[in-house]
Amino acid sequence: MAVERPTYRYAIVHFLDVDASILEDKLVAAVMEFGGVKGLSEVEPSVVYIDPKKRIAIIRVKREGLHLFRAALAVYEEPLVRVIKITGTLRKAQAISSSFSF
Amino acid sequence: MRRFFDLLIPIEVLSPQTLQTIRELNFSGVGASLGVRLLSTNLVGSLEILKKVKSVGEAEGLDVVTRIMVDEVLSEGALKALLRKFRKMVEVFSVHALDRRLTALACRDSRVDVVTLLPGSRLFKGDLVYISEYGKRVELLMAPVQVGSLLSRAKALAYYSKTVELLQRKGLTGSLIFSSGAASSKMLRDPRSMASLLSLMGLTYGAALDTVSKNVVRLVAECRDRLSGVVPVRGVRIVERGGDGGC
Repeated sequence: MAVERPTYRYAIVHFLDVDASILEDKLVAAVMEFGGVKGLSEVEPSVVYIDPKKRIAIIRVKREGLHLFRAALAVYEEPLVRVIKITGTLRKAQAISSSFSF
Repeated sequence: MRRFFDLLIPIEVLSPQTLQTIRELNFSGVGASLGVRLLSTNLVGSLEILKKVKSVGEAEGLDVVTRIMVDEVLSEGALKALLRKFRKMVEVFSVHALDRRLTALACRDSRVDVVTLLPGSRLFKGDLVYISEYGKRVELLMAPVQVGSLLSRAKALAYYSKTVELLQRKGLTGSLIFSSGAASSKMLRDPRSMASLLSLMGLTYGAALDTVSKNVVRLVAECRDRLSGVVPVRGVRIVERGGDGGC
């Protein structure tokens, strides 16, 4: 039996006082602190698009782990990112993120 | 469209910059909360600050709810004196469940609108009956799961899960409010993330969203009606005033 392909959600975020190069590491650390390895396996956050100039990034997370991801960001001591919008496709996420001007 | 409220932000934190951040986080309203210590040390000044915050917040497009929170252990007499003196000056009056006597009185006294639970506080059966009967709200704060050691944060999460389960069992999820209790603007989070946190504790996401929107909006409306005299006593609403007092 084939393993089912996971479904993803794309979070368009505005990152605050974080360096763009370490954003993914910081997100992983936040999820890891809140949910541990098990939680991280449910979220698998990865930065798929980043615009350091506008400070906007698109983060791909597993659909089942979306609430865990947001909760992990909420309880993390420092505000890493501010979620602007959640979309179901990367194309839509890119279209929305390109329309922002910060 | 949902209107999100963060009902507990201490007034000391509410600078114009913070109010702008709150607006950017997609909140429609904020509870400008005046602690009892500030109130007792500088009565006139603190009420002035409250008025100022309200006007600045409204200029920012926020609905600012005035609130007094009893966040220190007081005797029953002192709490009753505070209620007599200040209840009609602010829209919401809340008491932190810091000790058993204070919690019992807060649940029993109909002038207290919100009972704020802190990790470790206990609600007994009688308290829950009063909360349900008087239509009070039970408030949980996000601050205890954001700051402190990992163990204390984990204990706070465990306590919140148990409280949510208890309220669900008693059919009181409509009375639950989730606020940030932020001690600085860095602790502020967007309402959907706050709801996500609560949804991990056993509530559905819809019900969790209600704790930062509908449940708060309903409370604020009830409190304003009571203050304006539309609801003079519990269970009576003045729909229209008669002309010359005839029956």
